[in-house]
Amino acid sequence: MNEPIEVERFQWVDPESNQIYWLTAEELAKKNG
Amino acid sequence: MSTSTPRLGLVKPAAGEAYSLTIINNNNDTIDTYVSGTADKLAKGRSLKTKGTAASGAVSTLSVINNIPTFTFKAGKEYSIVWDFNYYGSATDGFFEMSIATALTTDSASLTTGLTFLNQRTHGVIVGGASFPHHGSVIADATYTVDTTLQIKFTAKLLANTGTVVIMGDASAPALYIIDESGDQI
Repeated sequence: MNEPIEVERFQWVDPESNQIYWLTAEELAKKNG
Repeated sequence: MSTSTPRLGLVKPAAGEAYSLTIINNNNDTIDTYVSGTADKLAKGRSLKTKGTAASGAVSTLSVINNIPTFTFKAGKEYSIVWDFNYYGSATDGFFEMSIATALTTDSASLTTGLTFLNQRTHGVIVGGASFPHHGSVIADATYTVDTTLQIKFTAKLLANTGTVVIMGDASAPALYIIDESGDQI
């Protein structure tokens, strides 16, 4: 089932695959280096 | 002497044997065996299935929730595109529109212009909050007269009232994005 946990996510587009991902703030910070 | 076709193994009569009842029956039996033993088990057409295993952000303005960067629709074929998901809204009067659209493959995945909407479905929020997911889906069909390569985008926006919506997804209950070729268009 979908867990009832609210985590704020931010949209990120992989520049190589042009695929959308929804990342947590921590994951987004890693992507943006 | 009769010969067999390389792919299906159908018996081809030699010259002068074309009216042989035996050979005609051999053909029919070979075809029947092939269809029941092999052809019926072959994959039917082209198909693409992907999953959304993370929830989206909370959106209200038109936003691309997910995309298929490129897919080639073959000429004259009928395609079904299915987006199946759970969602929750922040406000109990939230009234959202989820859509399936095409765009150029050269467009950025997040771009919300240049969309050609294939189908749209409205979804309301009855009870707000992540603990009260609702289930929704959008189904679209697409057919092109020539081979056409496009990007597919799955969008959501607030249509009326207030609030934001989150399209849910995790490893055990992913949102599903499916393109299936149904066969020749008639």
